[in-house]
Amino acid sequence: MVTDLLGELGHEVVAAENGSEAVALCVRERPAVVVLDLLMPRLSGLDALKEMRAFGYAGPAILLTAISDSSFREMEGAEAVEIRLDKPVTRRGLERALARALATR
Amino acid sequence: MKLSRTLLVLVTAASALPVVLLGWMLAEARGGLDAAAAIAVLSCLLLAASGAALVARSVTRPIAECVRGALEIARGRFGRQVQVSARNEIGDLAYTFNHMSRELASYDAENRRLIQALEQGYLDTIRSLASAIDAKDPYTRGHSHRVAALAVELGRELNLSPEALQSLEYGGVLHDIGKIGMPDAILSKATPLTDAERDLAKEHPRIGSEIVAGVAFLAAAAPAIRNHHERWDGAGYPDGLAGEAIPLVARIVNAADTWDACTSNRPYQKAYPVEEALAIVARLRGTQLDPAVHDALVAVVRKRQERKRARREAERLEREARDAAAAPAGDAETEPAPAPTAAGTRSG
Repeated sequence: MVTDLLGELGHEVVAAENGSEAVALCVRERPAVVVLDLLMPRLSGLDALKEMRAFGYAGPAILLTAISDSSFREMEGAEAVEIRLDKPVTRRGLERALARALATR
Repeated sequence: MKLSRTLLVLVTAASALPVVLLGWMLAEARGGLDAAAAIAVLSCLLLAASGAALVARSVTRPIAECVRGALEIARGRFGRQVQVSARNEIGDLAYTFNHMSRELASYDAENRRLIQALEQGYLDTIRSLASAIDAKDPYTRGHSHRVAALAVELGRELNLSPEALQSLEYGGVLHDIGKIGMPDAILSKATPLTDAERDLAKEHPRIGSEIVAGVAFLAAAAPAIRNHHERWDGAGYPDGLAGEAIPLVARIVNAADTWDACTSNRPYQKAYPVEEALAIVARLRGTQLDPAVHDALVAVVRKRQERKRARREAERLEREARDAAAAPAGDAETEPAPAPTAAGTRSG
């Protein structure tokens, strides 16, 4: 669904099935922005981001979450995330998050 | 529940205390409470208590739901989802719990797949080992494989456990592995064996069980290999066991082995037709063969015949339907044959 939204917004998207695939794709495709879900199969969004950073990805990351702020802040590696987007994702929310992400570059 | 009681007391106290204080001050000032004021104070207290109950429930119910889910997972039922709609930290707990549950289910499925692949690998390995014996003798080609398949079918007919079926499969495939040490001249001899040769040939079950003795996953199959030449009346070898003393897997492999020997070509005999072979094993019932295993063998053979017949029938109908469809359209006399139905071809 997020893939469709991103496509509609005119971005080129490579979608991954799970966390580890996302890391592999990130290394191969060198995207301008990564959009991650906090809870993904195999590898969580935070762990995936950590691995991406280790592989040299320096771009911005948007993390989609459905949990509340206080729970999120307790998580290890939460501070590494620049932009969080609450689920359910709206077209407008995503647009804004992307604008912020690209502005920080 | 401790948490709900604590919440109830705390919330009730917090919301009711000011009302009680106010009521007391009012009573002081007026020198007593009139009915309206008393009712107001009481209903405030009631409202506070029911509000507190609501708060307590909204906290404890999702937690109880998560506890139930955790217990389900502990029982090995992965993938269970809990229904919690709260948008707060407790909701987060349920949300991440569901994620964990799904992940566990997928790890579990992955593990099962790996185990199955591993077991298949084991089976392929011992099959190739067994084909080494089959290759020594053109007359026994495919024998181990057929015996294993029949032994498993017999085990199913006798309602054996999956573990027993597994040892029947391994034991069936490997029952003649001891022949690997036998001279080819004995294995493919068309004339009767001399006493010395027979004694040597009779060593193969013992040698076979020794070959697999060091392999842990074949431990349950070893009795099937060692005792597959025992007889129900005790006149078999190598241990001369009789009746129930012979391991059941060995009795089953013995019956499957005998059936395959009767129904395939050997240096010393031509294959018997099914009905004649059935007559032969009927004579062996109670002397060589365990009567219960013999009866299972008859049932399995009948089922196989039935399946074969049904398959032929289905093929015939299919062929007729194809021919009818291919026939010229002007031929109004031929009615299209009914489509073959798959249902009911397997008799239970």
